[in-house]
Amino acid sequence: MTCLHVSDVSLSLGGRQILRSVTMPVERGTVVGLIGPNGAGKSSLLRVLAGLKAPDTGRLQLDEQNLASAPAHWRARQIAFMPQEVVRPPPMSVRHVAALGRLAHGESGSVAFHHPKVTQALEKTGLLQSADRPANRLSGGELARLALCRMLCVDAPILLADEPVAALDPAHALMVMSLFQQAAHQDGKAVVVVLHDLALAARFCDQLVLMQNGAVRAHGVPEDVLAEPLVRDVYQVTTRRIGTIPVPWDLCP
Amino acid sequence: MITGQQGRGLSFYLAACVGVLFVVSLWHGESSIAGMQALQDVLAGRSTAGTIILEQLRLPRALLGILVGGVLGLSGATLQGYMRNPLADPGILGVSGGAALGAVCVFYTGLMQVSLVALPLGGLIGAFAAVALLMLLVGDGGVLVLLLAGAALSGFTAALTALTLNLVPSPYASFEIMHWLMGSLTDRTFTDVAICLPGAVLGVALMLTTGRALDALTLGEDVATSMGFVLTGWRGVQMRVVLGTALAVGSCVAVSGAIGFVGLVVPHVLRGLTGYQPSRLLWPSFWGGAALLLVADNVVRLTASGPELQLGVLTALVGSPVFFHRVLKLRKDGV
Repeated sequence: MTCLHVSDVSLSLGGRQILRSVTMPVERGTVVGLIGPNGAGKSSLLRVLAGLKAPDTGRLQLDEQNLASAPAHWRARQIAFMPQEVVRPPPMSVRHVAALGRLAHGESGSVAFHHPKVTQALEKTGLLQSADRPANRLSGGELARLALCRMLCVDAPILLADEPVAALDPAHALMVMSLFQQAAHQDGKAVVVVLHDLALAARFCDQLVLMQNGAVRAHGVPEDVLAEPLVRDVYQVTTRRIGTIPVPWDLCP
Repeated sequence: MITGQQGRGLSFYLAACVGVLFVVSLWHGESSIAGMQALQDVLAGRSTAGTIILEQLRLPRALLGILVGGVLGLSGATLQGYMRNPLADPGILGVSGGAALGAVCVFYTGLMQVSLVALPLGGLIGAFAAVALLMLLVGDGGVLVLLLAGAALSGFTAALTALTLNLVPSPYASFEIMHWLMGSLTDRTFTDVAICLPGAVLGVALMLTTGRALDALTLGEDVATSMGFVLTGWRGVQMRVVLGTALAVGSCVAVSGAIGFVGLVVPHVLRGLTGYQPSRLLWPSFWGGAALLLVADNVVRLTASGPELQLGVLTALVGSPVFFHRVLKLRKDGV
């Protein structure tokens, strides 16, 4: 069932067209991967979805609600966002940082701190044991998990993440991606993730949206979108397949 | 681990300290009046030398100590939380500079001779003019625009203050100006409290509404926005932070002169005790600032036999070593 409709969204910044008539449906219970070369408009699209940028034209609709006219606090409870660069938090405890996610519900202090969703999210992300540790001492991988944990604490039906695994080692990248997959497949959330790693995109995403020059070039299941000619044309690289997964191999001549 | 209850406990503890220091400030001063006798006289409605000193000198001075110290501490905590920079202090907005310039103009034009109220009123007008200019400059801009606008305003008001000092005809007036700029609560009256109070109360109220947004901002501006907080624009968090600190600090500096380091040091010292959560630092910083200023003002009065030490000089003398200590600690921790 489609829950987030993006129709005909365009955006220009400083006279440059960033997004051109982007249309895509996002269904509940699926992980949608936004892929494409640098400067294709993936992050800008995500920022528009997160409400950080208002599109010039087009329509964003969540179920029956038009997002442009929705109050900010309502929107905050429906859509949780994880930016590309996770800010290193002050030396608060891990649990305190996670509980900040409850601010989207207007909850703070001990109500947020002891909220069952916070404990649940800490458990899911494997941070329950570290709940009392100072968050500024976490490693990069743990910080990414904490950012994800904070996002799960919002308990929003839609999760948006901008390159959540860009700075992570393979083990942490797999862990974070499988947590997104779990959120979609087990908890029925709609997840939109910007990814550069085509192997992770093929492995964890149910749908892929391939962007080029601000427009959607292809949209569908990973097998179709990651077909050799399309990848070659958009990324200007050749690929080899390891099993069903395409691996960028060489620059196009 | 610090819980919300412990954060509130710290506020109560500091508020109790302020209460004790307030009583000490009423009891202790240059002239040795019998405190209990004066209090009985006040309650009985008698007018004696003791009641005049208590009611018209020490009471407004102690009240201003709480107000000015509290406002400086709270403003420091709010600005440091908003800018996510532990070195932000109320002076960076340029509003204190505006208040100083307003007051210095009163000295220069000789309006001081017309009425005693002219000086704090001049400071207040200078502060509010600076607030208005700051708002116009910042508009919809973000933190960087705010910092630049504050720096520009500080520099400009400092230059105009220096120009006034340069042009002032009598060396006596120049000495008076220098003295005032160092900050003091000596000989302030209830008129000063009345001038300072509206802006200070409104400013404090505005700053206290920003706690949750400051917490959200520890995760970065994008995450805070995605969690439903409007940051810029006329109804945004930045407007409440800037208007709140500017109104409160401007009103206070107008009556007390520039008192440095309270806004910088108090939140810095208390931050660790509040679990580093900006919202929990607000009230403790208010009471901590008030306590520090009352202590400093009492110390100033202890030294009253010689040339009186100015309050701003003392807070700077106490404040800087705290920073030296922090620097050494940071180096030791290998940060």
